[in-house]
Amino acid sequence: MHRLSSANQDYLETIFLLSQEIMEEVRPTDIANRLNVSKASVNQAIKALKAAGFVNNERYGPVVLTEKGRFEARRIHFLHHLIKAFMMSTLNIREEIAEKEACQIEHVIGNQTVKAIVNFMRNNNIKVHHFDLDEVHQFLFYSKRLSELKVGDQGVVKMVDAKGDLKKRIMEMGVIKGDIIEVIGVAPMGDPISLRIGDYNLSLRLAEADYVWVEVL
Amino acid sequence: MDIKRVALIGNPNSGKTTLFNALTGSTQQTGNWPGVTVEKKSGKLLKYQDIEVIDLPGTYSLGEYSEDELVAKRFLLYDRPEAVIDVIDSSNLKRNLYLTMLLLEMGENVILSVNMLDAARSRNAEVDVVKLSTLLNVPAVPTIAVKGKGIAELAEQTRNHMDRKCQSFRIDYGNEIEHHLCKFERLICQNELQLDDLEPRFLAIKMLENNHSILHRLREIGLTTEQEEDLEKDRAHIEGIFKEDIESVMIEKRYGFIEGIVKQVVNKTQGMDKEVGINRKINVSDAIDAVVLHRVLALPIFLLIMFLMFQITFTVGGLFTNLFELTLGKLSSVVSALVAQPLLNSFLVEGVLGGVGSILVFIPNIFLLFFVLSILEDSGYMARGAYLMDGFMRKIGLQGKSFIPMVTGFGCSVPAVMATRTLESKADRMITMMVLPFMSCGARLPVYVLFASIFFPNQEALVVISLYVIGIVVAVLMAKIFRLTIFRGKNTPFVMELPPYRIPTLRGVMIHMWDRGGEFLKKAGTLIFAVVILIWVLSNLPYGVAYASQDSYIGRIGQALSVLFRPLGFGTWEATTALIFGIVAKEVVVAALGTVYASQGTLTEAIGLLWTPLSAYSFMLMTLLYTPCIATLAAIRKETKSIWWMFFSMGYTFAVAWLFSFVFYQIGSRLSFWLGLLG
Ligand SMILES: Nc1nc2c(ncn2[C@@H]2O[C@H](COP(=O)(O)OP(=O)(O)O)[C@@H](O)[C@H]2O)c(=O)[nH]1
Repeated sequence: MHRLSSANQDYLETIFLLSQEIMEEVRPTDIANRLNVSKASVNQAIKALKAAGFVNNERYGPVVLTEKGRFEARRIHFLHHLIKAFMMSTLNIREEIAEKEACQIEHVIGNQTVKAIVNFMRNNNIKVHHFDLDEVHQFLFYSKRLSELKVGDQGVVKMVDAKGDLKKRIMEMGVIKGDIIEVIGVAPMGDPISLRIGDYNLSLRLAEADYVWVEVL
Repeated sequence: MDIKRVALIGNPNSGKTTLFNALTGSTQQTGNWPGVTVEKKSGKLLKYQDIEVIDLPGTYSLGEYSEDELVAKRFLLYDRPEAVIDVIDSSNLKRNLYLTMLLLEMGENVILSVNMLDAARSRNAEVDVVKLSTLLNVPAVPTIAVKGKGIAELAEQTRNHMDRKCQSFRIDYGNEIEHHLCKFERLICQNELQLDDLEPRFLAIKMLENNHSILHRLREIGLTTEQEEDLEKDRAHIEGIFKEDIESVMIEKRYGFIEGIVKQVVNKTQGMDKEVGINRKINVSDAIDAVVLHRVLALPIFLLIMFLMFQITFTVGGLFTNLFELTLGKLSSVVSALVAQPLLNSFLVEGVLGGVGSILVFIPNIFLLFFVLSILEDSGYMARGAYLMDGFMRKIGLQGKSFIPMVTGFGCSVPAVMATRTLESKADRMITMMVLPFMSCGARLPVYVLFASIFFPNQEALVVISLYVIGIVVAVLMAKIFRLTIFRGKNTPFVMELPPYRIPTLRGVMIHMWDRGGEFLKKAGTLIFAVVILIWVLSNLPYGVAYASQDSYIGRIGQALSVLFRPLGFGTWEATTALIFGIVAKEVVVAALGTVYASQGTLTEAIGLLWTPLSAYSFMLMTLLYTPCIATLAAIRKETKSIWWMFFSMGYTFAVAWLFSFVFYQIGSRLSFWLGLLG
């Protein structure tokens, strides 16, 4: 999977927040105003985000998050508040500092640490403003689509997010919650991928693998 | 004698075909399922001739995902066979048992054939068949279909259990769901909403799952709107609790139940990492895949295999073809010597031996191609081919599995059309069938060779290759156009099993080869024969003309139609007649040219004199792209079940061919005119 630079992650988060706040189409100008940067850099970022499949954007048109983009943005956003709350509540760090540093940490923090923080806060009943920690927990650890795993990665199936016949098909072929899936190969053109589930191998296109959420092992 | 029916069902690659042949020997009959193009095979049990085995298509489930699934489901639901033999691959028990669950839920009288025990064993898993039988409360017979083990026992058990009343079987779906199921079962019983002899519980499950066809039928016998609204509420309630749609909940519950069973009946001997659940021991199949599906090596290996396939088909096939031709030649001279009556002589020699013979000489090629394809299929490589090619095929609006028929098309379009059967989606299948004939089949080669050797003596290979490439390009182009116009719609999902590699058995390969090639033989004997005779008659009438001369009917038709080809550079009655003959079989074009130019010296001289390089290439383009031969058309008619698609294929390929030749010839002649002026 394409990894975004921290700067682009910030852009993504900003687009996400703007789209929630202004309730209408987000334009490159809005982003530039919010982040106080030039329009040229915004356009450059949008280009990168678009190439990685996080946003859709027609020339001169609004910037629209793809589903993947919305997910990634939400993830970063969650992390930000989680880290900030953790720093403030347990480490007694001042809000300005927590805010500023959470902005940096959110880009580099790993799954294990996040998991530990979430568990700690849940056990000690510490609240994160605006968020239901259980939901955060759920969300963060359903955290990857099968299509994002690399060859050799394993994950536990958490849900199949497709609809109708496709969902039924994927599940009937044995992709069931709790099963362990390993990505064993990628076709030469990058798509489809081959998987191992239990005793057999299955191949899925990335488009279908996109619907399968796994918790990476 | 009362014939009883037992259906044979199982996942693809579970060994069903092998088992079917072992059970029924050579007594099978093939046909088609009514209304769909899925092939239907049936046969009698070898020892018990009063039991008919009906081979259902390989399927993972009993939904409506593909034609195959529908056929299986309909047969079970509406034709209610006395018993069902369910073949399960014991090296992949969990997924195979899913279908078993559906069958048991349907209240079928199931006999389990626990197959591939050898394969399971080699994966260090021992399956306790007795326990499985007890747990599911059905007879279960251990089998190894390839070695013929357990077949007699299976037949025996089948006969013994033919009249067994359905055992009660239920998956415990948990309190939440059971509560609702119970309610609906009661509702069904109280209101006598009885469908055939389907179990109330099965109906209740289907009602809850919102199965449209069952609900529709229940409505017809008195399910009220009120009750349906109630049902809707209950469904919403359950979905609320599980935060999932009801069908998914049910699938999960079934798999959960299966999980419990597998735990009890499979004894992992060693090498299995129980905690992780994935077989960590690198098995042979994965080792092969590591090379064969390697990111860099995969394509070269794939191309090599394809190349070898054609090499084998055409070199070995060539030997047979020569033999055939020699025999035919001998036969012709014998017949000529024996039959004095000129008309009868011409009928036998030119009509029967020449016409049908020209098709028959391709039989070795076709059978060999099928032989190799069957090896690829039985070994498990075919699925890998589809997997590798999917990325490319999707770009042109098709999917990975279309690749196999397309490649087959280089050999012969007839088996290629038949090979489209593996495609689940109707649109994919139709598009593939429509563009297949552009893949230059073996029969067109002689035409290229003839013209290229006369007009492009030093660039023969280049000319021939250019034609193959143009064929591919046109196929790709047309596929794209079809996808954007007639067969619109989203790409179908590609969820495909990559079965473990197996060493194919000669028996299995022969069976599959025969399944495919037999069709062609039959066709050569019927429809093709009829058309050949028709053309022969037209070539000999009015009475007394020389065979296929300008004055014969065929010559006159050629003359009349030749206007059509004038803008393409070959508007002569000779060329037109040859093209008409080419519809019988493409390689006949050369022979026909020989006949029509018979009065003007040798064929090479005549063509060298009367054609130009430009008109020659234009003619080759036409031969490449125009109307497929009758054998192919017959196959298209059979596979699409529609004479209209056959006519469509006839017409549109002709139009495409005409257009290409036209554009080529017109541009070519302008260019050469101007170039000529420039000197
Ligand atoms: N090891 C093993 N291979 C089998 C057995 N039964 C069938 N096969 C092989 O499995 C492959 C698929 O079998 P086939 O009968 O075509 O399966 P179908 O797709 O279910 O019809 C073939 O290569 C068979 O030779 C078995 O009991 N043991």
